Amino acid sequence: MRKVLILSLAAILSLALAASAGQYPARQIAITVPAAPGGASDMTTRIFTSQMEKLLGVPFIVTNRPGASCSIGMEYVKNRAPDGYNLCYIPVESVMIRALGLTDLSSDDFDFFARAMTIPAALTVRKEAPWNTLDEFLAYAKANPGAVKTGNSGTGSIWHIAASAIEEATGIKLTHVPFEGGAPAVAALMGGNIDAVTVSPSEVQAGVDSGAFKVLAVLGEKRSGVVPDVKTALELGYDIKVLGWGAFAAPKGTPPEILSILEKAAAAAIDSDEVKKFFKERGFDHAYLDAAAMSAFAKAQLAFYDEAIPKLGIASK
Amino acid sequence: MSEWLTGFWNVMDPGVLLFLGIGVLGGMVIGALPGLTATMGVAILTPLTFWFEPTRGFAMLIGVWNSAIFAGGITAILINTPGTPASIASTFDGYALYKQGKGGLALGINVIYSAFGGIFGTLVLIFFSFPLARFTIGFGATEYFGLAFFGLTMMAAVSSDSVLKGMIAGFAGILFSTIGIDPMLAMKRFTLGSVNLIDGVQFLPVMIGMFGVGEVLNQIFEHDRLAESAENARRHVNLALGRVLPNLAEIHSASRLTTISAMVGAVVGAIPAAGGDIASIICWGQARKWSKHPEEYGKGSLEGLAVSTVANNSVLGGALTTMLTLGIPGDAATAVLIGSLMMYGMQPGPKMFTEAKPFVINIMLLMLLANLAFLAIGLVTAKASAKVLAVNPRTVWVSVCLLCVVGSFALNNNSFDVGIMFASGILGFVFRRTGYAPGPFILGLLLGRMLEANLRRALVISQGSYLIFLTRPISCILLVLTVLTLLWPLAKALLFRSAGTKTGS
Amino acid sequence: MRHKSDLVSTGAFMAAAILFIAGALRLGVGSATSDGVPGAGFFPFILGLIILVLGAVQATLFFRDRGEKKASFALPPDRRANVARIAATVGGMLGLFVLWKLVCFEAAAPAFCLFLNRVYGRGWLFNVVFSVLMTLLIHLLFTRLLYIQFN
Repeated sequence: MRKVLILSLAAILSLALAASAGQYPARQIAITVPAAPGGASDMTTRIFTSQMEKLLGVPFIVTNRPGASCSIGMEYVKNRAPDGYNLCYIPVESVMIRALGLTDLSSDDFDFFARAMTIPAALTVRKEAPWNTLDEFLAYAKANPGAVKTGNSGTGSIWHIAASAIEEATGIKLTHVPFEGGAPAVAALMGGNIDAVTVSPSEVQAGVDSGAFKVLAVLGEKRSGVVPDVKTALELGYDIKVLGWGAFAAPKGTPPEILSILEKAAAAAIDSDEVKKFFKERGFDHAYLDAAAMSAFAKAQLAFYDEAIPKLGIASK
Repeated sequence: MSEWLTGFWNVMDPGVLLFLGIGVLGGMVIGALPGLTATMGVAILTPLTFWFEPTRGFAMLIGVWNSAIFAGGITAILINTPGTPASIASTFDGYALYKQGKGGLALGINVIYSAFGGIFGTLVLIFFSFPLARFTIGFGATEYFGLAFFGLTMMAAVSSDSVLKGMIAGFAGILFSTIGIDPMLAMKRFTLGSVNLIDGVQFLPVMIGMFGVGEVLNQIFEHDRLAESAENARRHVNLALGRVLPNLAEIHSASRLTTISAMVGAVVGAIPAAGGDIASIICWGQARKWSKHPEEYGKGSLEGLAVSTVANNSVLGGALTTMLTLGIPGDAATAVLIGSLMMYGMQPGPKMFTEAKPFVINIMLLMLLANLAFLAIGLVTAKASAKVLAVNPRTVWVSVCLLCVVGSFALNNNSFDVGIMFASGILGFVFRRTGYAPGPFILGLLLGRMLEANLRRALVISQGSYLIFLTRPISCILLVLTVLTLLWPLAKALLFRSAGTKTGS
Repeated sequence: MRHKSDLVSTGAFMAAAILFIAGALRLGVGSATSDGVPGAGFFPFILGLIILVLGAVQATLFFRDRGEKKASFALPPDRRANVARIAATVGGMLGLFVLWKLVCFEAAAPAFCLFLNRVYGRGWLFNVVFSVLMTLLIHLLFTRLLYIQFN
């Protein structure tokens, strides 16, 4: 009995040693999705890891830890060992939750190794609405402050900030109506209970296809693949850019040699046909950034939201 | 018509049937385990279906979805813990039936009426999808508020001993639902500085704890060795005589209310933000009002169980209606299904009915098949599970405690949820010992957020005017119904009293 | 006969209501945007008041000796052992979770089953078979089929 115990202990020890000394990656990698199964973050991570498994030759275990605008899952990964075996999907919420007062954590607590995709906000109204362009919409809203009821996916959510960024940039006043997620807001728009929504293009795609909705502007870096004919706000001459994004990162302090292995693999994985096809079908924009560019992007985003969120007038204490 | 024939041959493909069968079996396990919901089952299996041929992949998902909702009722009947939130109303009569030794019959009713509801909902989907969706899409904040309010009037019906205590527990449930981020202003309320409470007290761990662990602790407390052996002997006799199928008289007497609740379930399912839990609660509560034997409800009424199981399965067809015709998810599970449809390059919405009509037909046929599949499997296994029912209660205690801990963790991979489950378990026990039924508390917790968020959302839309609740027809009707429901017992008492005095004089 | 636990439980509900009301007042019952839309504290405040009123009615009933009499914590002497079993079950669940987090699930689950079955007075053979089977089943189902990570 004792012999077995000693032997198995020795075996475990030698395995652990091999893992630490040998080539990365030596064993399975855990990756946390801070959102519920079945959503955009979850699906993106699962497609991404299926490619990473092929490239790195080790299994990836995806675990969903949803809650508190992604804080719970990110907090969990932040407190793991920075050894390259604990990775995290990092959504746009990472640059927002500190300003919202939910937690002290921010994108600064992570070492990014890739950005995979972006999802712009799309200002959408019903077909029979009297506005056909962004300018007409803004002119009406300016003449009638508070008359346009704009739905978003929750107070302090990215799509709420999208609507408030329009207010901020153009001086109009909207009535914000928060819902529990984007889908109920779209339903309320379709049912005629609100006048506009600022959510992702893929969420309004069904309505656009059926002719129930029209998209007035997209608030992304470039036009959305879902509604390629709709101009961005930037093209229309307004400096409004609000978009969701998904990136991958490890806890701060992960050795640079491990990060560069991950970065190289992630670049190939995100560039694969499978991932591109998935993004196209789900209406996300393929928007790869390497580690350095992503870190700079996250810093800029963090600064933007630190300033934008207090202006929403929601209590953060 | 020829499209339907082609569709029929498509789904009769052995591969499709195989994956449908796997889905139905998997769904039964997932649905029966407390903590694993139908939504989770569909979400967990979705990545597996990426690489399948669309009809096969969808066959599996639809199988899981349909049978998980049905199987939630099995757990509700056997251990008084709803396997999924949708079967919450099945505990009221199902567990009472089981305690009377009619567990086999309860399981039989659960499977037969689940399939009836599911098929009814699918027929609604096939024949009335567009008009129904056009009706329910108009539901706004005021109507959701009306629905939640209407659901809350059932609180009194599920308070066991004392209505007053039930009301206190129910309002406490609503009060606890206010913990977490404020739905309108995003202020932190009563979170005690914990990041885990930001989303509020999660409903599922509370439900698992109160019904599962709370019930086990209560049983241990009431445990009496001598009484147990007598009870076991009685149960053995009952099960030996026990039947699984309801007889014609029982089916006939329940037919009116079950048909109505199948219709209500399909409509509630088609409403974008209302699902099986609220449908079955409303149907059960209303059926109790209109039943010829309301006194049996909650004490082992076959009709009560049938009504609630019909409602939670007919919701699925309704939810698919909104999802397929408008591209808007009717509940959390259909939100995941939309994702997987998009993976297959299809965008749900009116265009899908023209561009991908064959696949829409496949989905409808798969829904019907999934119901028939779990009907067959459920009936075959009901007899067997009825025999397993005679298992020693002490075995059940250990298994339920273990599964509650595992299930509450598996929900979000979060240890905090286990703590919530544990605390709710003890609270559930104390509730039972002091005469406060856990039912109203759970109901309050479930509907509280919907009530508050939609009340305030409506007021944001109306800019502070309460008149909006009366000027919108559907919400006005719902509120009038609620008032009538509350006043009905009073009116009935007055009527009977006047009738009594007349005969007396 | 009336039970003291009846009054204590009503008191506990009322105490919770008072705590919530205090919190609600700090949050603000009115709205910051002041167009008639209730604020964050409005809803909990109203609910707290309702519970206080209902609790007061319940307490009055108690003092008029019309409290509920069906369920209580009182036990006949021959069933006192059940209290120890409840304590063991609650403690066992706590132990299960601590052991799970400190060691691993595959060790904690059988230990929990062995302990509780022992407390409930089951035979050793049944106990061992049950514990091993249960752990194996849960392990296979959750970690292998549903990809849920326990540790």
